[in-house]
Amino acid sequence: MHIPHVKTLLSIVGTAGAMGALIAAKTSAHGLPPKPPPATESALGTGSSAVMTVTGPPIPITHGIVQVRITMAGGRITSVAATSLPHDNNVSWARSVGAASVLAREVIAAQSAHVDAVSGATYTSDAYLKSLQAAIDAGKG
Amino acid sequence: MVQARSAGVEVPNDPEWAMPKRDWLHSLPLLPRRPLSAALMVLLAAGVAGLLALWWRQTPADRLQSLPDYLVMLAQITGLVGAYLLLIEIVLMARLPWLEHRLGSWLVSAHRSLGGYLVLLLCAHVALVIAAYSVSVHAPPPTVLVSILRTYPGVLAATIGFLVMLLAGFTSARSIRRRLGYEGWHSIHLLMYPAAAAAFWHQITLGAQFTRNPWAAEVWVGVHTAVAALIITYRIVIPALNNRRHRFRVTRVEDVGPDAMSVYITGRYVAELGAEAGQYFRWRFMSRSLWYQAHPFSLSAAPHADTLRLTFKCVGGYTNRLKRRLRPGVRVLLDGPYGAFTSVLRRQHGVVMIGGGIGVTPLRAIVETMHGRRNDIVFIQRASTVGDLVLTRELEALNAAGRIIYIPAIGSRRNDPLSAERLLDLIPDLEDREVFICGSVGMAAAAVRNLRRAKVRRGRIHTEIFDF
Repeated sequence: MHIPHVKTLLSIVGTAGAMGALIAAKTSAHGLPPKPPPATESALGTGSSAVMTVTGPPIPITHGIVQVRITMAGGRITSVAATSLPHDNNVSWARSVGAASVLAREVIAAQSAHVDAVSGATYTSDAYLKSLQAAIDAGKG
Repeated sequence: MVQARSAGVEVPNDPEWAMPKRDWLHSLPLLPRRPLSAALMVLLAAGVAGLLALWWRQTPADRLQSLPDYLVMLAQITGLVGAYLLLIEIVLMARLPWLEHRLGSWLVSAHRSLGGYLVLLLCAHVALVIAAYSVSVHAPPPTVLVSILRTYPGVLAATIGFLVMLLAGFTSARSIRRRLGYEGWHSIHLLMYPAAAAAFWHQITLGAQFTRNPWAAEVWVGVHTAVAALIITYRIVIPALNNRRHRFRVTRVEDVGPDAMSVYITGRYVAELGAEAGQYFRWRFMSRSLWYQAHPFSLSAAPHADTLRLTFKCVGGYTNRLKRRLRPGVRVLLDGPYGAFTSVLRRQHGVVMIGGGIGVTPLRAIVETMHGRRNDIVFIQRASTVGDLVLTRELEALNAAGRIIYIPAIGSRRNDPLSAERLLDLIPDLEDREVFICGSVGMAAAAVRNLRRAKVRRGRIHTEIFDF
């Protein structure tokens, strides 16, 4: 009985090929930018008392995309909010929402992106702080 | 108790028998077997395409950035398609009467080949998920596995379901299945119902395509609910109602060859079942050490005056117990009729029946319902030794009555009594005949090979395989 093995092999190769083609099509369909886009900002008023909103770049991680927006007034970070968090499933969503609120509090207290990652959400935290750092840099520059 | 009438040997004196009406030669069903099965395959492919389209729509543009992303996306695709195929596998075995009657054993072979593919697909799903998270968090796979099982709801249940499926797949490999026997194999396969249910939960709670798209989630739940309803209806409710109405009991038990027995079962309103010669039922004999299992057996005679007959050969633990325990009066629960292997398939006047071992039983039933002239039906009984011949007395009686030309063919497969040359020698007009084959996988494959070599068209060869 050689024919069943040939069929099995063909179906494996066929499936792998089809999935590869699908993924490749998805990748090329959107022409992915190799680097995350820079932070965008919008300012109200001028000078040292200006209130400024800066949105950090989206950082993709395995479970989804993390993006942070900060509001700065007079060079101080007054609020931090996540505009995108991993939401592939309810678990990653719940966990990253929890981590984001902890991080927001710590960042406002520390006035910088140099805070500890939240345990249990290390990758979300890292991406969060990366997006945040880019936003702070853009805001201060 | 109803007295059983013999369901067979006495040939009814039917004047129409020698001059068949011609309409059966032309009365093709609306959708013949092959186009129907092809249409089902197209439907199946459409479902896969729909799921891939869902994936495509739900996947954000910038989701594919690094290696773990690719692995997660591949895991999502294999998971979606795997879950869908699992559902199809269950539908194929839902005993839907119309499909069973039209496609019969095609459903079983589709279930089997799809099953092997499904096992591979879900293995890939599991491997891809673990690999993706390992690469993403730079942790060894076992650590990742433990943390996934501990933190993601439903994944533990799904993993248990996956292990059950691996077991069901493994025990379906032909050599292991044979060693295990029908009972063991079938019991493990029944565990697939809870296993599939266990795997369902994580699809809804964690599957990105469903958590982000409530509409898709509702369709997905709806389809699964519908399939569950089909299973409950056709595998439980309808057989239960049928048995309450028909009240079958064993009425006679008869020795019909070395280690072979015929069992006559009588009930009420049997004609309502619409059973045809060549079909099979799943029989559950309500006797000590037999009641907890239902086994498939073909009818070995056309249904006759509220009496059905099956013939079995003692080949394993179950059939040996049947021989010891079956007595007139034993209650029988029936599930059926199933199968598309009936005289409906006949398109030619000339017919050749090739039965291997106990595989002669449905053929024996079919010839009873076939009309024709003396030379129209050639009945070849294939066996390795004379001891393997069953129902010979009845076949000889049919031969003497001029209904069939009965040819016992004894010999090993190495010196095949049914080689292409010998077949053509026996039946010079073989090319113009419809061929019905029933027997083991090996016997049927050998017969088909020889017939093809003797230039019989593929569409004229009909096989029923006695192999669960």
